[in-house]
Amino acid sequence: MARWLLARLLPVELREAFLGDLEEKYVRQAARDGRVRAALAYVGQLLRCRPIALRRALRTGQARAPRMRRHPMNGFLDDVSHGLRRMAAAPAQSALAVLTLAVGVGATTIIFSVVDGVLLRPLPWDSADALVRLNASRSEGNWISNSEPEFLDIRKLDEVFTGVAAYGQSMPVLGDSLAPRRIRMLIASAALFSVLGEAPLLGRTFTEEEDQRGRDLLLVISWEFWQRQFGGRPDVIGQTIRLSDQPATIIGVMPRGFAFPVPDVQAWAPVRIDFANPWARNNHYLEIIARVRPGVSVAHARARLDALAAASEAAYPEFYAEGGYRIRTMLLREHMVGGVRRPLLVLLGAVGLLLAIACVNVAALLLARGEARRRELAVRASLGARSGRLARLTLLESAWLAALGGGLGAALARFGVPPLMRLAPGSLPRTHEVAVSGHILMFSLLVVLLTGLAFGAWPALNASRADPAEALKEGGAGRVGGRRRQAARRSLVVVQLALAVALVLGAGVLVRSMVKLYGVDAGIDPANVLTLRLTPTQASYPSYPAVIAYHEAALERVRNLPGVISAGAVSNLPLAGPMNGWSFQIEGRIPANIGEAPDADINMITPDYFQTMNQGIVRGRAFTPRDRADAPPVVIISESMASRFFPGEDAIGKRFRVWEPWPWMEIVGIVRDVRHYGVDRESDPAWYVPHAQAYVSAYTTFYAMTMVVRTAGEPVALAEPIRAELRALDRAIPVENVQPMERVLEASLGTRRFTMQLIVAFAALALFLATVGVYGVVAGSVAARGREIGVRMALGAQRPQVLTAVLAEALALAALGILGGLAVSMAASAAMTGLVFGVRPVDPMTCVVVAIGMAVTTALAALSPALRATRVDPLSALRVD
Amino acid sequence: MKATTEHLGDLEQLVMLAVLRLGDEAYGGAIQEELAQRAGRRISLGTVYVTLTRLETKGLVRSWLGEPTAARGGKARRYYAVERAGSAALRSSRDALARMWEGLGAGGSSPSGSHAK
Repeated sequence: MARWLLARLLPVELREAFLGDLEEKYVRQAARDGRVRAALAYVGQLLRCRPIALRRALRTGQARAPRMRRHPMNGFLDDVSHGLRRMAAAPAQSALAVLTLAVGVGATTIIFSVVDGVLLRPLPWDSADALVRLNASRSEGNWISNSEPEFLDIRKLDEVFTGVAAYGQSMPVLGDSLAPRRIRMLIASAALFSVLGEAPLLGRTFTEEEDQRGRDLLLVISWEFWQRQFGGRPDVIGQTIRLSDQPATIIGVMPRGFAFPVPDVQAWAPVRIDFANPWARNNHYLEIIARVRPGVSVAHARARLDALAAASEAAYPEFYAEGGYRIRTMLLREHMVGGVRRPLLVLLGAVGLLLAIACVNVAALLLARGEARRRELAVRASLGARSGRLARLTLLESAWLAALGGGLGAALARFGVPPLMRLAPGSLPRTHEVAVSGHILMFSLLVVLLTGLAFGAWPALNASRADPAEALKEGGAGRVGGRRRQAARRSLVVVQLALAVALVLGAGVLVRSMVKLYGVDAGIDPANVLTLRLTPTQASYPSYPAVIAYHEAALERVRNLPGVISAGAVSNLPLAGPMNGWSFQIEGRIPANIGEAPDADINMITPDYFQTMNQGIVRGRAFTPRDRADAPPVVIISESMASRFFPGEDAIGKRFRVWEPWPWMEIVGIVRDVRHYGVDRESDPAWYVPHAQAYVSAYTTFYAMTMVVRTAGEPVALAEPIRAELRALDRAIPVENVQPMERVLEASLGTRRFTMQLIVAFAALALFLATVGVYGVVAGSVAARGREIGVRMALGAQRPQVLTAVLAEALALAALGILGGLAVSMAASAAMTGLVFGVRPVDPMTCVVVAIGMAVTTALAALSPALRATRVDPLSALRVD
Repeated sequence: MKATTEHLGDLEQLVMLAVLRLGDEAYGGAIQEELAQRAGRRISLGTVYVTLTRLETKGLVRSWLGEPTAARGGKARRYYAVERAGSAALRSSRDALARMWEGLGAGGSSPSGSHAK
């Protein structure tokens, strides 16, 4: 390419000869010394032929040789390469400017890619905006899943929906006893695939007819599952696999990239609702999505559903009397990404600030450089260059910086997004859809262009307005003078500082929130606790006593391991997922029907659970091994449940039951609340029944349980020994999700931590850039006022006085910057409210800390030039002219 | 009319001398090599051409295109030769140098030893 450029710059007559000579030499040298050295020599020759020198020399010759034609474009190209050489002349400065821009543009592009992939891009299904998700409500604002009868009612609304599908999640155990593992499976109605508008890649999906109670288990599998389990073989259709000891026949494979509702769902099976005899109306377990009929607005659908809800509420008072029945209609997209919208937009704002700082930094740099070149430009002007030409000259140099910086930034984004997505928390949806695509790159190019114009414009305008005579008169080539320009540079630095302060404040507030979150007493002690999930199957343990015995045996084995302090099991681990909410009747307060009954979350535990988790019993007792199926039914409730349902009285000894004819359970203990749904959420009332007793007192005993083990040392160290013990007990049961409780806690804070980490990174970068800016401006000011300082020192000013003066000037800038930053933070505090926890968005203590920090940083940045100022030799300074 | 003899720069002289030495084979690449080998002056090909073109504009050398050869990817060589005005300029430069060198030792010291400042 260099050769092309060179060729273009050479006059036609010489082009051939020149290039031919180069080729000849290459050939000869290649034969003599080998191709590598020849190639190096070739490139060396090209580089040494400075096109401009060539051009200029040839042009002066051309003035007297009219037969050489002057190419009109050559002037422009001349300026282009001139700009490049100007950049190369100050490599450190240029490198810093390019890097600064690269960081700014790169970070902005990365965040914008994330925002685009998660928030802006439409869902991957056909006309996804017509897809809505429906929830039922138990009481005001408390949205839950739907029941089968409710689903069937909604399904009848033909005029509003083209299709309504229900689904629930299930995690059956795949395979044989040698290497069991669980897969995530969706049980869904046959309409799911037509609602989403996706056809299978191979085979077919199940029909309405096959989706009935009593029919065989048919399976549609995902592309990944097909590849991994069957090696992509086309004869997979018709094969049978075992899921939780039941045979399942594969009838179809979905195309690659089909992921509903989450990427790790590997199979879809019919939900097999008994249409004639559906489950109870108060048994809520189905999620519903529906496709709105084209031509029907979502608002109309919503209205229709509201009417249905009202009608149902009236028709079935026994179910709905207490909380009423409402249907919430939400766009599917909103459901998937709504929760992360605010953090992502805040991240976008933060990175925008970073980009602004980067641009200001480079603008200041160019301004300073423009200063130094005033003489050169003045010479050019006096030689007849038009002011437009001068402006173009400076603008092109800026253009080079923008191009290089932007290019580097784009590359940074391209290679930075995948690793960032791997680090992203699981709670960030659609990470698999985030990619730096064509229009993102175009966006970043636009950003580069705008920044190029932004910071190229000012110096360019200054250059074109320079008075040549004036510039030629003043002495010294390196002087960065001019009152107005100093003021301009100062205000730029203040802007930088303000933006940096805003970012640092934001980061500080988020860090404090994080610290507070970690400090929140979740009700349990997560340190040194290992958790793991066990899912025995009904086929292996056909009765409740059998599975109870399994879990007890497992706990016994684990307890006997060295290093284990205690071990228990729970059906729903806190911070790891939701609990089930069941209604109950309190003795003495029998409601007329289930619709009026209170409800609370239930958890099944083994006797040692509370002790292992350090969840304290407040009153009464914990469960003991004696609380078995043949013993009186007992229950332990949480503090908030006690205060909500038994206010002002002692709940111990009171009784309640799930429903008649189930037996009354006696409350034998009150336990501390646990923030089950997240440390940033208040705890909900909860009640606990002994795992061994549950099927006698509360409908059923759950098969899948999470074992928690308190260890003497590092929890992870015992993972293998525990696994070995459990495998020895029954190797067909998979041991899954083995992780320390602390990691569960961290994962629950996923999105917050991710946002905080990114903003802290931005703030650090911003601080660095602002510091560099301060250094530049103070150094420039010292250089410009060298004479003044010299005069002062000659007149008796002492070194410390000069030092203080310079530092004071820097601190004045810092003060202005801090004030500006505070203003920006306050303006943005509304946006931050959703993200902070336990602190105010503009927190006074954080402000003070940040202010002091900035002042110190600014002083340090100004220290070196200030020291240099004190070393100014008065005599030589006075002599400068 | 007496033609004004051109004053030649140091590089211009060397280049013209190389052209004279190379005779019929005086083209860009060869001139560059001759300068490198004989005079120990490594200059870029571009500079060679700049100089030659300047000399040609001043009328001190002339050039013409040769035949294309395969070794050069089908490109022709441009050959150079010194004009009469060029020879005159060379001679004039050489004489001027000789007059200045007169009396000085080989190392450049003055005939009566170095003078104190």
